[in-house]
Amino acid sequence: MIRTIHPLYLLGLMLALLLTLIWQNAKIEEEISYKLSQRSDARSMAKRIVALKKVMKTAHKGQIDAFLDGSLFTGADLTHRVKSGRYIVNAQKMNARQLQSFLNRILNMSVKVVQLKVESQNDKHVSLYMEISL
Amino acid sequence: MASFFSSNAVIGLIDKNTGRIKVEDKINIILTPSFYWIKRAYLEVNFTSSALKYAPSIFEGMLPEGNYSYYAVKTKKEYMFFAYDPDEIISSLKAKGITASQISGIYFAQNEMHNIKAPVQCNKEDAVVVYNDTVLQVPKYLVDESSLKRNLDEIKELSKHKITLHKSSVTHSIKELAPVLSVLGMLIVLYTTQLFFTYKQQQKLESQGSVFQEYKLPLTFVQNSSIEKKLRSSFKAQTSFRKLIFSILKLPLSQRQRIKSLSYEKELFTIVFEMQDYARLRDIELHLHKSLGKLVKIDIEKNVMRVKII
Repeated sequence: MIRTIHPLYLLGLMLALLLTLIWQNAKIEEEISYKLSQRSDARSMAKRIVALKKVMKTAHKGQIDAFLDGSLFTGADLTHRVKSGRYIVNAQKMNARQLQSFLNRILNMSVKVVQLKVESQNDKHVSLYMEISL
Repeated sequence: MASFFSSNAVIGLIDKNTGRIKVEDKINIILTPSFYWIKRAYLEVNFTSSALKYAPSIFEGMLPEGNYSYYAVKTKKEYMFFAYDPDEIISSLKAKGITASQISGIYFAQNEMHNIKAPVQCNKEDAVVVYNDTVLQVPKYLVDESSLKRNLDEIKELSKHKITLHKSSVTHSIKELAPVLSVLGMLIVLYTTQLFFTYKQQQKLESQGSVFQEYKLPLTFVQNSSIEKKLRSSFKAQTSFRKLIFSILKLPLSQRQRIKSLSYEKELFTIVFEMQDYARLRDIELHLHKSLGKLVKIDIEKNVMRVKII
């Protein structure tokens, strides 16, 4: 009949308990480290996405309408219409400076150019056809 | 009293009245009947472990006061039960100068000496004899002194019925193991505390919401990875488009060179030049490559230059 625990059993039990604790600790720490690393990766990705979205933020419809409606290009016959969610812009008698300014401003609105056609009309003027989507 | 041991002194017959013993090596101890009580009983059980459960009730009322341990041996027809007081044995062995580390095994005389032919002296006054298959301790004057033996030469081999005195080992070894046990104890406390905090940290981490949620993005990594990929490709395409169109608008054309038309569709620019000297288009190609690097692939066919955004 066992009257009390043998010290070697006690030693064995304590060792087993200690090893289990160490193993369990290491396991949880590894899990924490993995989760932290995942969260860090996720945060970096989220920041990159937010930054990209910010850079590529397209101007809203009202801004584009205001730009195209306004008589900003004197002399240039600029018209536009909306078809299937796309802006179709036509311009005649645009001089080089106006063309450059138009393209500069419209492209800075982060629109996606689907089609572009510029044709020389004479020495000073060009015609422009552009399809853009938001 | 040392005369009880053979020359190798591996087996010792120990009685309550045995004096101090000097043990050089390990010793197998045979306890005389003065250390235990014996009772035979017929039980309808197959295993010794089951029979052992009945031992306290079998000895009930016949033992002096004390904390007893029990041992059972199965014989052909019945069980033989032993009752012994480990504390008493421990203190007796200690008093005789035997330490736990020196003990190889402890046996009952009943199991080891039931086949002896002649009585064996166990102390100055008593001898161990076998009567009706039972090993008894009797006064020496009751046996024939001429046949009395003073050694255990008759015992060639010990039985498997060894008892363990855990208490003895504890009282002895606990002192030796105390530093190790206390260090282990401290480490256990330390690691348990650490585990508690680690577990808390894990729970805290798990209770935190998704990182993507903070940025109002879809919850999964795969979805966001796909969004990022799409955005990157779109960003690259737009950047390349802008760079290319501004490079075209800033082309260093000579006085005779003029662009007749410029069109863009499906990531391909087609530039038609009005010029006689086609060879000079190579200068323009070089200029575009210089400003745009590997973003574009250029093909020239007479006065038509096709620039593909890669």
